[in-house]
Amino acid sequence: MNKARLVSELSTQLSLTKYDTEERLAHLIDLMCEELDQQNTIQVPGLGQFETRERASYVAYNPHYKKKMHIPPKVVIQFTPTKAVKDELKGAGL
Amino acid sequence: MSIKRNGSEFIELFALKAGIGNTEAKLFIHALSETVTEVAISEGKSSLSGFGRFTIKEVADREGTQPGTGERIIIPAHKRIYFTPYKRLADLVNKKNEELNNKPRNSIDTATLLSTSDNLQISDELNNIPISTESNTVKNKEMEKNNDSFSEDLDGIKSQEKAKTVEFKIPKLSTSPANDLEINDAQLENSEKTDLLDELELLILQKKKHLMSGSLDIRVDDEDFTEQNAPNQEEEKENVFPNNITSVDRTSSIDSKPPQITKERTLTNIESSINPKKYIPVEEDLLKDFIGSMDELKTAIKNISAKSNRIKPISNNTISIDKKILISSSLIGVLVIFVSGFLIGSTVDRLFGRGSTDSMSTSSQQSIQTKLTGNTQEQPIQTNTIDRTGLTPDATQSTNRSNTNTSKNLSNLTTSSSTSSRLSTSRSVRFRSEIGLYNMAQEIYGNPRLWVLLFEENFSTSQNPDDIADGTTLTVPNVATPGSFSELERERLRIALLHVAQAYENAGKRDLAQSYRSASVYYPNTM
Repeated sequence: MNKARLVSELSTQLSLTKYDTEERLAHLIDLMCEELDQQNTIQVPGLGQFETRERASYVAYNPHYKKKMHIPPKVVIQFTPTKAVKDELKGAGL
Repeated sequence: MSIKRNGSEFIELFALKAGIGNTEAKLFIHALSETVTEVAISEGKSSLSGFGRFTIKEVADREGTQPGTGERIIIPAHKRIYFTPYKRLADLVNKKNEELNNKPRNSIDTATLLSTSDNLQISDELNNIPISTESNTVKNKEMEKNNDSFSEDLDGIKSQEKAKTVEFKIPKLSTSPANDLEINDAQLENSEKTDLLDELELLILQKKKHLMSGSLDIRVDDEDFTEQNAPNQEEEKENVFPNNITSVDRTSSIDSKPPQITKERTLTNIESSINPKKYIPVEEDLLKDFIGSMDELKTAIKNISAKSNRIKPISNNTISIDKKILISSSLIGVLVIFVSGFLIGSTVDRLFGRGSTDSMSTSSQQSIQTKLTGNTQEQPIQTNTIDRTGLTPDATQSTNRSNTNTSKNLSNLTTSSSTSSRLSTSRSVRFRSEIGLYNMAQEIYGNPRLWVLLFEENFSTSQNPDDIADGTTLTVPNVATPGSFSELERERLRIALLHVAQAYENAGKRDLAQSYRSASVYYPNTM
């Protein structure tokens, strides 16, 4: 699903113009990025929680070159889906 | 640092950012999340442009444990939603992190420095606090003065304290068992040694400095030597000297060789070097200096050797005195132990009147055995008793031996004594908890498994066999040598084993009780 399709679907759901929905979507994603940039945890209703976590450096093993690699520390974004999403996934699984 | 934005907060923020009402924002977010999840579930993945991608993966069923009960359960296969941020977002987050990572390194350095400085300050304060309390009592006016003067005063106080501590240390040493004179000598030795060593070090340092300056000059000259030949020859000649001197000095300082030989060596070296290169007499001053320094060194070494010679005999004397004292004290101690042991043994025997009872008991024992066996084998039994008494402690040894001698005489007279004194004891032993009854039986009878007899003789079944109080006097029952048990002895052993089994039963050790009970069936028959 690309951006154009998402915008068109949202515009039909919310009875908004594509321009408005695109603008709002851009604002929303900007906001989310900003919040995550500030190491904040955000709970998006109906979707889930996004939070940043610091992953410590570790030594990985490259099986092809048979060499140990040093993976530097990194900040990862952890996503935890809401219960509604999990339930939907369960329903889809069954 | 990190703030948690819950749903309503996030909606409000979005509304502010987009310039729309809260309800509209809420509707928009809900619609977006619904569409994203729907698409993800239906198509397996969905993307939020500029943010990230949601993917759904199937997880196979696996074995796990119930968190509450720890029960093993099978987690069924299910689907999971994963979020992968786009590179822009990941970079954004990590750039911030990198900046943070870079910043802390500097900040940490400064922080550590600050902390260390703080610590130092704190430590200084801590150091100052107790001293200041003392100085309050000593000098109140000084407190109001400048910090510098105050610190000086503090230093003075500290030094005073140090001196006090040193003064305290000396009486401690004097309280030690060695003589006071020796300590004084040792202190003198130490002080003299340190002084001499300091002097030597100073001398060596001075010489080194002197020579180092020369050697430095040489090096400079050596560099320029290729360019300027004629004037540097002299300097080179000069330079050869200090090199020799340094080498000699080093050897002398390290090996402490007699300086005359070194002098000769240097002279020969100089002569050998002079002959081919024709030295100018400027070096004589250096040589004189060197010889003077060597003389100084010589005197210093002589002083040291003299002191060491003076010291060594004293130390030898002290050692010999110590040895003498040790030997004499040990001898006296041994004598005292012997005498005291003998006295105690004799007194104990007198107190309890065991001198006669022992003889009686041994004789009665012999009489029993003779009765049981029905033969008149008196002599081997007597030897047995003597052997057994040989295993007794030192104090009671002599008395027992005398008793056995008397018993030999009395045995002929008292063969018809009563059989009721069957279990009458020949001696008593102090229980040693560090060995235990088992090893004590090994010592007494030569068979550790006969400890049950000792236990049966001295303790009731209410006593825990593994927890006997140290120092309790045990009466030792006479037992025939293992392997030649009579039927009566076997019966005694059987009873003793059952007694111990009952004791273990009472102590709550049923396994041991059972094993001893079973042992009571078969073990006495082996004896």
